Amino acid sequence: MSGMNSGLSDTNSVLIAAFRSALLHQGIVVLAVLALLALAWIGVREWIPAAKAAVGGRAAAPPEAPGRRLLRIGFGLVWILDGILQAQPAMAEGMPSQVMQPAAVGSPGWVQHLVNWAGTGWSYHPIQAGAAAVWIQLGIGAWLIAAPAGRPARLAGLASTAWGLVVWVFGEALGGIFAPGLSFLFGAPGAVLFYCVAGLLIAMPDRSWQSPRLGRQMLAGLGAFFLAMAVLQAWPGNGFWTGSSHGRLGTLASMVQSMAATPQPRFLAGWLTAFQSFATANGFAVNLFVVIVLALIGAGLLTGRPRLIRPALALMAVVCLATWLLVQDLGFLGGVGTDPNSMIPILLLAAAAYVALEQPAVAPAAEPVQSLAAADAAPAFEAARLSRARTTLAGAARAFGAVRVRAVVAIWAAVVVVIGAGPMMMAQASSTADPIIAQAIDGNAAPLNYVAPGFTLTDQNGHQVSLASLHGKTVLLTFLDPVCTSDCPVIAQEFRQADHLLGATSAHVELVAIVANPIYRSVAYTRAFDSQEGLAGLPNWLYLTGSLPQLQQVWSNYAIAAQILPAGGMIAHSDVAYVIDANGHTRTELDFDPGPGTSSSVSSFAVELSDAAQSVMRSA
Amino acid sequence: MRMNRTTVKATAASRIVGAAALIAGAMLAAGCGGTTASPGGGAAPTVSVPLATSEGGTGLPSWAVVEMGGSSATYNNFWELFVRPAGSAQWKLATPLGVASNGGLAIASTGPGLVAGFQPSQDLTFSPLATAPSSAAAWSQANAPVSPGLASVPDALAAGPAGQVLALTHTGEVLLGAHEGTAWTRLATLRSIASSAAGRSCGLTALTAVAWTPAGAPMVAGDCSRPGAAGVFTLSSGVWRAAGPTLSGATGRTGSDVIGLATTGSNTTAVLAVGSGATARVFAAWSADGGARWTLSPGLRTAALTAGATPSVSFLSDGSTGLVLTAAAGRPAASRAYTIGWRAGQWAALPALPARSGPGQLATLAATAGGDPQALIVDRGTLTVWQLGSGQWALQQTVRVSLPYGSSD
Repeated sequence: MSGMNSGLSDTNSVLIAAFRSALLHQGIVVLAVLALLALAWIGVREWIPAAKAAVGGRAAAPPEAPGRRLLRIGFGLVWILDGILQAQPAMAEGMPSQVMQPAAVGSPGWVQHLVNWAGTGWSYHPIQAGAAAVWIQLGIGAWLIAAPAGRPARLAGLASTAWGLVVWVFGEALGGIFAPGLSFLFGAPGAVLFYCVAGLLIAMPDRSWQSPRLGRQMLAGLGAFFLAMAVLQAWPGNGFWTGSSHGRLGTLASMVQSMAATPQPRFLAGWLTAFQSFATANGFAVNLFVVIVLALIGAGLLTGRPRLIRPALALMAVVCLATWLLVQDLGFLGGVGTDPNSMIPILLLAAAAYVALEQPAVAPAAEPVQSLAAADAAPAFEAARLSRARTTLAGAARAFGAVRVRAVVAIWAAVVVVIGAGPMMMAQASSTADPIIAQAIDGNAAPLNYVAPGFTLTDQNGHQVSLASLHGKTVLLTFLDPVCTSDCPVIAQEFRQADHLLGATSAHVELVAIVANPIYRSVAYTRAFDSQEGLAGLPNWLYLTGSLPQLQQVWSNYAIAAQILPAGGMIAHSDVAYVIDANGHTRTELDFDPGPGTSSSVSSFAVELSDAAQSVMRSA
Repeated sequence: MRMNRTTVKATAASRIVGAAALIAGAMLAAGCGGTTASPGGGAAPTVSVPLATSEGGTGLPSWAVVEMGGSSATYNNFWELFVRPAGSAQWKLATPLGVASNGGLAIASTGPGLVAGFQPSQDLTFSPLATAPSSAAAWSQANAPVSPGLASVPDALAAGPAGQVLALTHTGEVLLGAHEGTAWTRLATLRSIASSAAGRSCGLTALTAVAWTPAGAPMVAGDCSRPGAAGVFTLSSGVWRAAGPTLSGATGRTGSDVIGLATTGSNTTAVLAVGSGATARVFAAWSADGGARWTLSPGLRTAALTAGATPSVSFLSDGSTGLVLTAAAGRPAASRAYTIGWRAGQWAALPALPARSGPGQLATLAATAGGDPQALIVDRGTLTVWQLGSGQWALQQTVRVSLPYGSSD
């Protein structure tokens, strides 16, 4: 999956520091928004007593269905845990390569393309994307927990479903449902799909929760799911029936072994290792047991009979917890875990379904107007008036003052989601990567101010060009080997893209490269390079060369090393770019080693270069 | 809430249908995840020839190109050029400097010296050239590179008697360099030769080699899809004419690929791969008059060829032809080597190489001035030269090369 990452380590200190800084800044904004909302709410209630009175006068809302409340709070907490996991230092850079890419391995090409598209977008803006995921998930979690019953909670459910789908499609590669070896034990069909289902259930109208029918349908759905999982688990050819074969571990034992190898408390690794040994020695028996248990759970839930459902749920709880512990390793330990995997969401859904079956919501006993009649009529009348006046600013303020604390928190949580998504959406609109990637590879640009050493060399058309002749223009200068196989073509493309990013101001910029190869330095080679890189038609591009003494003098003046390597090695030379202002002063030096040279790092360098050029032009 | 009997039935039925649908979905998903059968049939594959080769002539230096490194990252393996000066028994490293050789090297002897071209690699799409006037390997850049880059075949370059160079590019163009590549002009393309009368009669599908006739006319070779034809062509009065041997009898029932072509003095040798699988054979063909008349060797038919071994050709300094058969991927058999002398009556199978040479490590063959075969074996950064004498291989020389691993990262 090319372009899926910048090639940087997920422990890169520059990226981690930038990620922490972004989270800190956005965290301050999030708290400030909360404080502002709280102040506004208190202020409105103090200054518009009618709003305060409206709250007291409102009829008590009908109690929320216990099953729905369980789903709302349970998945709210899970989203908050996921948001906290997204804040792990390695997540910003590691998400595409450590999470998304591995999830798509084995899936068909179109799934991989889909995931690659999203991963590339993430890798272009790792800080914004990483921070966005944190705030969106924390926001949805808080929204779910805080939202009172009714429309706010239903909206929170829809938000949970929408974001869950994004995560399921791009982060989990559709849960691997199109890849071989799908298994309940490994989290099929993707943990976040359960978040989506839960979100939809939360978004259902209150009346849906007022009969045991919903609970029965949920349990039946789960039953069918478990039966399907039993079939998958029993399917031959996926390696589940084998503990080991010809010295190679079977699928289950191999999975457990890899889980045991991740960093985690020793006792947990010990349990995993013990289970792996057991699964290796008794592969067939273990899988037979799993298949039977899954089928029993499925059949029990499908009957719809409480006396069979209860033991099935108990069995499910045991199996899910055991799987969560012994196969899924709690889902988030070691590496860059993003969620607690599928067992907890399944159990939450099952528990909510059972509660919905046994304790459906109580239907309102009477019409709201009758409740109001029993209370003081004046505040009710005021509330109704407030409702009509919401279209005006004052009315909106009164309406805001009339909401409960939980609603204020829910509004804040929704704003947190927007705070997370906004910068990411703006970043996605840019076709180039964040310059932080270039800085992570080569460090920050060094600001300078000294007279740039002069030179007179021959351009690709055979004309003499001196640095003095370029005065009046900002010069972006670099050193390229025309027969280089890796870095130089990449750097040339960065220059070309930087020229594009400069737009109209590129008319005041000259892109200059000087040959950095002591052997291959004829004009024919600079022309071949220009043709190869599509630079021949760029009007402000100069590729200069000269005699070896001439070049050596320039290299020396600009501290460029150009070393001939033996035995088929490419010329080793410094990757550096200088920004020379219109007066011939060197103003910036950029280390310009493109590193792995992926699309995201390349465009990141181009942004850094064009930013530096514009900065120099502005300061002139 | 009470339900009537009909509702209960309907709920149970829908539940069963839902469960069945999910199970069916699961079965489909399991099916989707299984391996799919690869499409069978298709045209017989064109022979892919390794770039490893050697060439030289009596009284002239011998040159050999081998790949070294053993890395799974191909850009970290480097093609090295070795030279054994005329009259010397020792090989020495002579890889031209200044360009990464991880894409491969093509060489063309200019008599005492050599023209070497770098195959395109990574982001480099054209081919820089280097020339050396002698076996001292004092390299200088040719004035103009080959653009587009050289074809990935060992005979992509050929030096003419008057210092001109022919180059075969990966786009199927035949370029002529005036003097060791000072300026290039296009002589032909695959399409132009294929559409000529000679090309049509052969069913030309690819160009695989360039050479010169003893008289100094450009010569190209390629793959023919028509049975009985061998794709060798010469340029005469601006027209490409068929100049290959005729394949008849059982040999002429399939198309053929020219996997090696060279002219030394007045002798032109072409090596042809004919058929595939059980019918795969290799022939040498010799012409002393620029392709007007050919003598065809007996076909070499071995189990290795049948099993898909890759043949690579070397033109030895004594005028004979060497052939190395490298086992196909996934078959860890040792490489086997054969030689055949000029117009000789049969291929000679060389003894198996020493056990310590692993599968696929036999890079190429060379020959001493006395005509004794030498095997050049590569193991990562070490080249060992083995001399055949009295029916046994004897280690003659070891050259350790400090490879620039990571220089092209």
